[in-house]
Amino acid sequence: MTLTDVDRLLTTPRRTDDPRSGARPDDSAAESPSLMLLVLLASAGVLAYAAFLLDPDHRGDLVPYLMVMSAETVLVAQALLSMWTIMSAGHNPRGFAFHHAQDRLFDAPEILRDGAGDDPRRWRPYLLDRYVDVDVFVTTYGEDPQVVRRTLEAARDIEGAHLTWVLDDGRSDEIRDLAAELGVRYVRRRSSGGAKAGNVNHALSLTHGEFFVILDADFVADPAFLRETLPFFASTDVAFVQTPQVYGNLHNLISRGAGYMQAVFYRYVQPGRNRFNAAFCVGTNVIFRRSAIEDIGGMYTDSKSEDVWTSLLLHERGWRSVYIPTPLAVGDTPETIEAYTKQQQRWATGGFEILLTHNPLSRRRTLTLDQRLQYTVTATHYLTGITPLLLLLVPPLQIYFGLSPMAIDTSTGTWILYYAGFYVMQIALALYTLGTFRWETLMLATVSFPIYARAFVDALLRREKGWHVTGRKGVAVSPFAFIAPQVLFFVFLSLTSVVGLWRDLGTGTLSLALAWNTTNALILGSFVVTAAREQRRTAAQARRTQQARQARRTAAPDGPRRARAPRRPALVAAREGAA
Amino acid sequence: MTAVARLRLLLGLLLVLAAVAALTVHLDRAQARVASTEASIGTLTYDVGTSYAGLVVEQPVAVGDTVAEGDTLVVVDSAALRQDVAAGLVDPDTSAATIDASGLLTVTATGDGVVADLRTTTGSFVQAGAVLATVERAGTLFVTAQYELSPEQYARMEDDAAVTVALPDGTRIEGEVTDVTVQSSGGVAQAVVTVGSARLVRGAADGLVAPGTPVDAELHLRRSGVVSAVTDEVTASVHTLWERWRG
Repeated sequence: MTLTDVDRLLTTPRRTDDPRSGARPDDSAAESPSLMLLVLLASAGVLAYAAFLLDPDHRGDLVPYLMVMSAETVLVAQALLSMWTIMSAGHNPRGFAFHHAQDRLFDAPEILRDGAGDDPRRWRPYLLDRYVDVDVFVTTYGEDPQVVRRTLEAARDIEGAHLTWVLDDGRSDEIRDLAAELGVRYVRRRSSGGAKAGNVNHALSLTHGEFFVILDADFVADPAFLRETLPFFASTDVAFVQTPQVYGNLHNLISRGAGYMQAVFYRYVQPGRNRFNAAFCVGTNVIFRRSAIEDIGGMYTDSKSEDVWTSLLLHERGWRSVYIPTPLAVGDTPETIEAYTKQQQRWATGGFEILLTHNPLSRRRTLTLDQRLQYTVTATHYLTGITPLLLLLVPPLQIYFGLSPMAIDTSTGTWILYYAGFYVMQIALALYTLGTFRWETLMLATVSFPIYARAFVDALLRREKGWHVTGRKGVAVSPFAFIAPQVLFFVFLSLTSVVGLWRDLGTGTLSLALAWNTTNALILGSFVVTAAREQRRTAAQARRTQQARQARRTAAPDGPRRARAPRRPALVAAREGAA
Repeated sequence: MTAVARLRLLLGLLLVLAAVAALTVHLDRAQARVASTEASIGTLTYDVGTSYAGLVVEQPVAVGDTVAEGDTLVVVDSAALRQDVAAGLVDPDTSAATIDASGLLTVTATGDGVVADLRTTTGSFVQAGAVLATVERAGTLFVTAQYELSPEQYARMEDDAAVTVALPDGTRIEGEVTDVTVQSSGGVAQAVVTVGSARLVRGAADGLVAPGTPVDAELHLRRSGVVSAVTDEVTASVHTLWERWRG
């Protein structure tokens, strides 16, 4: 028999639903002592590999050596720093103040007096014994109304009295009608300046809540969202509380790759950053204190990565951030190459912007050493995405010009031993932290270098370059429009493998360069195959929609629009995906 | 996908194909060449000497002088020779030295060349049988080069294989193999190759063409296989077209 919500409020002593309170499964992995051991072993592997590369006896021809060295320097430094962050993750941000505030969040006598026991939406939240106003913003920009409906219903049904707003930058009448139907407030602004940050700032000028939640149009919030986040604001220096992004659509290669790429970030890196008071906002599933945002003059609008920039400015003003690894909203991760490319490019540009225009290590920043280091990691993180470009070119250099990055007398066995010390340990770490090793993630990490290189150039030239490939609205764009560099690289590496085979057959020995080059060609090839499959799928879908539209037009020109059957509850899918 | 994007992808593909083709031709050419581990210019020399001890009375040449056959190199005044001539023991006409009645022995050059070494000075005494001068024979410059060749490369080395000699200043001279000696060690053929060329003229390239100059000698192996055949075919037909176009 389960307790109802109001029963739980009346129980004394109060406790949360989970009897193992404080040891939520989501938090515990980061506290495992075995993880520490693995991290230490992996660090030793990284250092051994670095020493191997730096040993002058192993140095080969200058050009490929420098290429390998610069790539591996970035990778090794980032690996060490991220392992340091992971080691710092075993820390529960909930202290006495939190639990105390959580216990007093809802006033049980008031709820009983108002007869609101069955309707948690009417429970008024109290913080420091004072009633607080909360706004929940759902930002949309042309998303499918069915998806928005799901999100709005969940946002409206979060327990605790709050106002739900849909901030529609897509100016869709369908969304307006939907808001009216669901009883949530609808905001449409005249301009669309400042993108999402501008949208939120505009809404802040219309509302007066002391706290506001931001949810992307596809993130379905858990009813406990406010109960789990609001109590942190009992500490008056907390600017925002961020919760992870959990994905319910891990059903194709791109979304799995992109989703698992995020998983390490949300389960280990952000909790670790929390320890440094450097956890940053990721744009959705977050609750802000209005006065903190007003302190920095509103959400930062000069970047497409407004979330990281806003966090950085808040930290510079001395505000504190809180991250909890408890999943409180489930949404979608990119499942098409187009969406993935745009998302990664947006994030990477934000990182590079910080690196190039707002060096966190500069004396002018009012940050603690911890925060400086963590934001430097953020600013340089996407350089790791560019390194495959250098590494992919090393085997062709050896095949065509005989230039080798390592000394010729370094035996293959020695090399593999040190290389494994680095990479196998990293994979082991991923295997332990995520419970599974996803080759999709490895594939995406290898083939995404054109995105990051482009982002770097954009950030360097301070330009905002759109994509020229997007056709008419509603018409599916071929994924190949976004991955031309990858296709060209695939062709180049495949042909190079053929040439390398021809060369090796001539000399009678199979070279390591050929093995590497073939592996790289296969990885790129699998990505190209993924793109081809996606193109076939979208084309088929477009045909079906076309047929359905024609059928509808002939059958019932004025028939009532009926909502499609709701999709499988995302939360269920997410739990399965994570298992 | 817009037409422009398609076109760009197509152009990119063509560029990649062209790049791979060019790189493959480069690789094919590079595989048909072997760089020397050590190479230098050498030459043939001859020594001149005296069979009579005596005093050097004249020495009209200096090291580096060009001499023709019959030019005087050293004149030796020998008492023993005078005695032998007086006794009629010596025929005054030998090819390498002229002997006059007063007992002066004139050592002459037996061939065109350049004086490389003089071991006496005027007024010094020389023993019988001593070597007095060394002369580099004209027109006998060659390059000695050492190579490490895999068995497969050695098999592709032709008897009169072409060699490109690069002088320290970058000047290139084409030559061909005239002599090869090979020793095998550890599966590698250590070949010492002698390269001759009509263009190895002493003093050319600002005096760099001289015995002892270190050079790089690139050995051209026999090219075989599809790529070579195709490249040669294409080069030949382009050449033919070019010739025809020029009339």
